[in-house]
Amino acid sequence: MTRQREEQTFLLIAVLIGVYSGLSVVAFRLFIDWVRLHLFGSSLEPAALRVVLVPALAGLVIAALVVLVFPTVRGSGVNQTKAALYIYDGYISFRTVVGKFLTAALAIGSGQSLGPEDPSLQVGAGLASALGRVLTLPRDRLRVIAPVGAAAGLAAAFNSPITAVLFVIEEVIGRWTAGVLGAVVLAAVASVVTEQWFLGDEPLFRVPTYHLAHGAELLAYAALGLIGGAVSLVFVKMVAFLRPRMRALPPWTWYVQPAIAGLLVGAIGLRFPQVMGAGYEYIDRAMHDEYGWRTLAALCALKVVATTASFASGTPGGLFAPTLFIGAMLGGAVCAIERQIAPGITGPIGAYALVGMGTLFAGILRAPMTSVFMVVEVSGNYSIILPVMISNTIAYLVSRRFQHHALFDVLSRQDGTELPSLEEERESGRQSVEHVMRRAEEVTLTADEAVTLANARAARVFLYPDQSIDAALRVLRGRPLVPVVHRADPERLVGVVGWDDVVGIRDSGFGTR
Amino acid sequence: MPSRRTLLTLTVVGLVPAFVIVNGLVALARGTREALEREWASRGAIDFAAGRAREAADDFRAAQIYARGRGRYRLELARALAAAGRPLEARAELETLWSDEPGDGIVNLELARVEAASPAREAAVRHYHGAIDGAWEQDPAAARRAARLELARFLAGRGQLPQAEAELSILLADAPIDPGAAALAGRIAFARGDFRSAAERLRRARDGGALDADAASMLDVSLRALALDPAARGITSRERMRRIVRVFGIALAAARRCTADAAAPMRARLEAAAPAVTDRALGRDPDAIDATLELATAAESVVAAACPGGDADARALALLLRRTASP
Repeated sequence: MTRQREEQTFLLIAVLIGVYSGLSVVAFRLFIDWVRLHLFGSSLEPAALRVVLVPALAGLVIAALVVLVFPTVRGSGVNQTKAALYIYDGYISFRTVVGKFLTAALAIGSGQSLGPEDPSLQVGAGLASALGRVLTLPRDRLRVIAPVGAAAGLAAAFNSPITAVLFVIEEVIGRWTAGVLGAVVLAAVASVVTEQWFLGDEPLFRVPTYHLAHGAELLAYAALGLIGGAVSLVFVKMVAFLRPRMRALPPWTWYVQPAIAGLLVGAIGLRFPQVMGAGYEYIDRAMHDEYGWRTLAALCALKVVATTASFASGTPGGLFAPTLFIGAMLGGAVCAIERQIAPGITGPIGAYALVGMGTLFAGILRAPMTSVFMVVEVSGNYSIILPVMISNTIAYLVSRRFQHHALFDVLSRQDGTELPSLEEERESGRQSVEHVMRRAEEVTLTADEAVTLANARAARVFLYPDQSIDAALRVLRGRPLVPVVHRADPERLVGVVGWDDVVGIRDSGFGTR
Repeated sequence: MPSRRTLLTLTVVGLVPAFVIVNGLVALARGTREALEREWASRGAIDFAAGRAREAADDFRAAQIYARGRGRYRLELARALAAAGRPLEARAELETLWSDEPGDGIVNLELARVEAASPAREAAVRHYHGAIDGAWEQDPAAARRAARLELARFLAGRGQLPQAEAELSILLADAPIDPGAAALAGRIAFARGDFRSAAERLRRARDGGALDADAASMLDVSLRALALDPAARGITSRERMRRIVRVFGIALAAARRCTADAAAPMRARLEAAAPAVTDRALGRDPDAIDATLELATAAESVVAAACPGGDADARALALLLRRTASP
């Protein structure tokens, strides 16, 4: 009864976390707008001097804040949330929340090529952590509360609860458990409702109607997957190469690195202002056929450069929006080129941009499930799932083939934090009884063992071949040997398993290969 | 240390000030955005009116960003983009509007205009019909008539005269008659050689003040051709003879004015036949009627080739005879 009550209380807290996260994300978005408006003015074409100087000067302020006041707010926030779950028992300091809010808003508002989603995720996680501490939640609850807040923050920032839930499950928590899932879903929904209450339910971009113009068009989507995988690789390799080298520079350079990145972004922004900031309005324009293929390809390449510079410099901000931007531009470019080669079989550019977003999401962030459902949720169109699956899978495989570790895993290792690689966990096979048992036909039992086995069978103590090592350990407690029987015919002995067999495999890899 | 229940209650209660604060911030931001939206929209309207389409497009785009989700700036933006010679962008904006409201008259009309300038013109006809059948906020009847007239002009410009006439006949069936529609219908009838319809429609256009110099000339020629037409129904045989003599006289006059050597033999034939071409002579010899008309036709053809141009009577005769000659 008490446990049930605790569950209910936890779900109520999840809703509260969702509402507070939604409110904080609304404030975060308003703050970003406010910063942009005051730094660049209301014109879409600010003066050239502003375009160059604002990101650089703001970079100096951001660097000072990050180095002197908020040292834990560098980067995107996803790994910090994972660290809270796996290392710090759910602890994220409130100072981190405030710091992330201020510095990320200043960075994005001043034109650094970063997005607001990952910081929103961390702000949500931090708020949840703070709330959990205030409410003196037990340690096991406190540990999982950060991902609950993370889902809420991401859902509100992205206006897409399913994507947020999937991302947090796939990339932060790594497993589906009913207790956490319920809380994550409730928090995500509550935050989206809160955000829409204030800012309306308008999507981030207007998605044009999708239709497959011709069956052969799927080949073009496959090509988009290949190119997307290659672009993802370039981006991840660039970040992985540049980031540790910039961190290794003398500490005084940390004060100027965001400014130098800002200067570079500003210089690019003189000719291509689209690369500055999150760039959602330009994704929208690309989806509606407003750019030629040269512009689209240039924007794709320049955004890779600008985002690498901004992110590697330690400027707080997220990779979601840049990933989507790069994907949309790449998808649009592929469509525009295909139109020239095969005009009769090319569908709308918006569909390619949309699929491109999912493709880069799969290639860079390596969250394949999220990448598929993100596109479906954003487009509200299930018929797009076929090209999305083709393109995303190819990009994912290309990325995996040439980049062993996913980006967030690379980043955590660069930071010296050993976080579990959820991708590796997904990919690794689970060891079962079948892997450690001795097969019946190969076993020669001693008299004692035969008696033990007969007693166990009489007491209906046995294992099935597909049961986990953990289950085997529970059954083996106090027994030297347990029979392994066929599921369809428990009378049929398929093998035996002993304590030593199981302990051996656990010592070598704790039940995983 | 307060109990968890108390803390939970406080957390719930804490939502109230949090909502109030965020609501205040949102209201403040909304006010700012609305002011910016108005400012940029106003600049856009001024720039567009002044013919600065590119600047107007930038202004409306800014207004659109601050008024995200509102279609009216998108329409203005599309118009400015089209005027600035950026039809692809204009079409993209209009298609967004169209996907939201496919039955909107003005959106269909603007899309039709953009499509009309593109190679794929079938889409233009579709959108013109969308505009004709679509919903209009102000004076829908007049807007639909204007859209239909624009469609008829577009079809006539593409040489699809029967389709254009079909649209115009709908317009001309109901009062008040649009003088512009009457002028276009008159031109098409004139091109077909239907001088009676041309004259009737062009007169209506003239009465409505929609007759330019070219159409006025068509009206004049149509009236002359009608007056000359010996095959017109309902005229007496005496009048018919009189018209044939007049036709011959115009052909002879044209030949006399043309001094080119190529026309000399024909001029000689006409001069030789002239004494016999009188009302009385033609009345006595019905075979001479056809011969006279054939000679006049041949003469007109030769003289027109040797000496292009000619006065209004000559042009009326040329059109009349060509129509008669054509199957």
